[in-house]
Amino acid sequence: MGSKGASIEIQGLRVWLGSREVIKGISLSIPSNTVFTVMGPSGSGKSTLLRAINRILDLYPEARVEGRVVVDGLDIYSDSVDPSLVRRMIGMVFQVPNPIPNMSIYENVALGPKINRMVRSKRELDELVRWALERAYLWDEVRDRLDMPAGKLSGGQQQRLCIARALAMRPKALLMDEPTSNLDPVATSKIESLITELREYLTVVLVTHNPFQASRVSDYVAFIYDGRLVEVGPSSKIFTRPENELTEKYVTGRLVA
Amino acid sequence: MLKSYAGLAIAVVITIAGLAPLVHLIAVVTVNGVKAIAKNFPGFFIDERALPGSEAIGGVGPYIVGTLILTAIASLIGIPISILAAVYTTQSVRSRLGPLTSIFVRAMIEFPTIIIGLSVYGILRLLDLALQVIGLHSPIPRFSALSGSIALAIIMIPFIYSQVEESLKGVPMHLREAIYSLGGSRLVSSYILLRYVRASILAGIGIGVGKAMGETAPLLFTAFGSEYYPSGGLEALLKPIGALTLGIYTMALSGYDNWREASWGAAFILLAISIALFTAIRIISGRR
Repeated sequence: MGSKGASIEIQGLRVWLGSREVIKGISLSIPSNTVFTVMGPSGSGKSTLLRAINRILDLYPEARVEGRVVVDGLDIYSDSVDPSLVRRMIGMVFQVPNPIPNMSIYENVALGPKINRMVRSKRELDELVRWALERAYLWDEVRDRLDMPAGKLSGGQQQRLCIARALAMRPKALLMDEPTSNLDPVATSKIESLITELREYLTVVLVTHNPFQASRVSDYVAFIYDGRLVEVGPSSKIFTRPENELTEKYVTGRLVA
Repeated sequence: MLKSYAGLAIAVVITIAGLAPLVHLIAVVTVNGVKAIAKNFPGFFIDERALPGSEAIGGVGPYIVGTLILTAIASLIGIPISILAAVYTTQSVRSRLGPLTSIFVRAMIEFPTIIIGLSVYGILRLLDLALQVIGLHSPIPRFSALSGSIALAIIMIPFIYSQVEESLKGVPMHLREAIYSLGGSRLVSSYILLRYVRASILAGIGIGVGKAMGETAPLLFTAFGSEYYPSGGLEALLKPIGALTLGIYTMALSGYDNWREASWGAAFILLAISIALFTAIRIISGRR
C-alpha cells in the first residue's frame, strides 16, 4: 500500500498566542516522503509550529496565524478551505498518548475512517483497522482483544494505537509532537523504528527536543530557537557540520536554554 | 484528642440537623401518602378526583397522566435545545455570541418560575392578538398542555445546559485535539465528545427533568389544570391539562378533608416518581 506523501511549504509563518508572538516568521520546505524533524528547546515554539500545519490551532481561541502553509499545492489557510479537510489529510500524534479511553481498541482505530466515510462495508473497515494496527507494530499484541477499552493498554501501546488511529485515515502526512517523551526506552525505540518506515507512504513531521532522537530518525532537521528558524538541512549535515554556533551547542548538549 | 472528639461531635450534630428535615419530609409524605392510597387501592392511581366533601377519597389518575405528558413533551423540547446550545457555546471557540448565551442561560436558573409561566402566557396572548389582525388564532392556546410543556421546557433548559456545558468544558485539551485531529466536522466531533461525557449529561437530564416535573407555578397560567383525563387524541394537547403538582396545590388548599387526604397521596406519588427517576439515571450513568 505504498503511496505518495505530501510536500509541505511553510512561508513566512507567524503565530500569536494571545499577545505573545510564538512563531516569529518561519519558512520551511518539507519534501514529500521524508522524516522532517523540528528540533529545539522547550518553549521554542515547535509544538505551535506543528499545530499550524493541520489547523488544530483553530481549537485555541487565543491563537492567530499569519503567513502561508501550502500542502500539496493547497493553501490550507485560504478562506475556501475547510479545516476538517486539512486534518483529514494530515494526521497527528500527540505528546500524551490520547486514545479515547472509553472506546475499544478497534473503535479508536475505526473512528477516523467512520467519520470520514472512507469504507463501505464492515469487512473493508476490519481490513483497514488491521492494516493500520500492523503498520503501527501493534497488531500482534492486540489481535485477540480488539474489544478491550483502549485506556487499559500500556503507555507505549497507547501511543502506537494513536499512530494506528492516525494511519487508518490514510493521511498524506503525519505530524508527531514529541511522541516518545512520556515513554520508556523500549517503547521509544519501537516507535522510532516505526517512524523510519512511515516515510515510505507518507511525510512525517516530527517535533522533538531530543537531538539524539532527531539524529536517529530524520532525513532533514530544522533547528528552531525562540520562534525563529536557526538552521535547516539534511540530518547528516546538521549533526556533523552545523553552520550556526547555536545549533552546534544544542546538538552537543552545551546550550543552556 | 479531646479537640478531635469535639470536632467529630459537632460534625455529627450538624449532619443530623441537616438531614433531619429531609428525613422528616420523606417520612411524613410516605406515611400520609400510603395511608391515603391504601383507602382506594389500586383505584387511587386510576380514578378521577372525588366529589368535594364526600366520603370517597377518589384518585389522581388524570394528574399522573398529565404530569407524564407535560414532562415528556417538555423533555422533547428542552433536552435537544439544551444540548445543542451547550455544544454551540463550547465548540464555537471564536464566537462572541457563545459567552453571552452561556451567561444568559445560566441566569435563567434564577428566574422566578411563576414569571416563566406568565411570560409564556403573555407571549402566546401577544401572538394571538397579532394573528387576529389577519383573521387567525395562535396555534397554541394559552391554557393548554402544549403551553405548559413549553413553560416546563424553559425551566429545564438551564439545568441541563449548565451540566452539559461544564462536562464539555471539562474534557481535557489533549482529548479534544485527538478527536478533532480525525478530520470530523465540528458537529461530528461534538457528537463524539458528547458520547465521551454521556454519564454526566444523563445526570444533567435527570436534574432538569426532575426539576420541571416538580414545578407548580409555571403551570398556573399555562397548563391551567384539569380534573379529567385528556381526550380526543392529539387535540388534547391544545386543551388544559392536570398535573400532580397542580392537583396537590388545589386539593391541599381546599377545605375538604377527602381532598386534603388525597393530596398526600398525590405528593407521595410525585416523590416516588422523582426518586425512581434519579435512581434510574444513577444506575444508567454508573454503567459503562
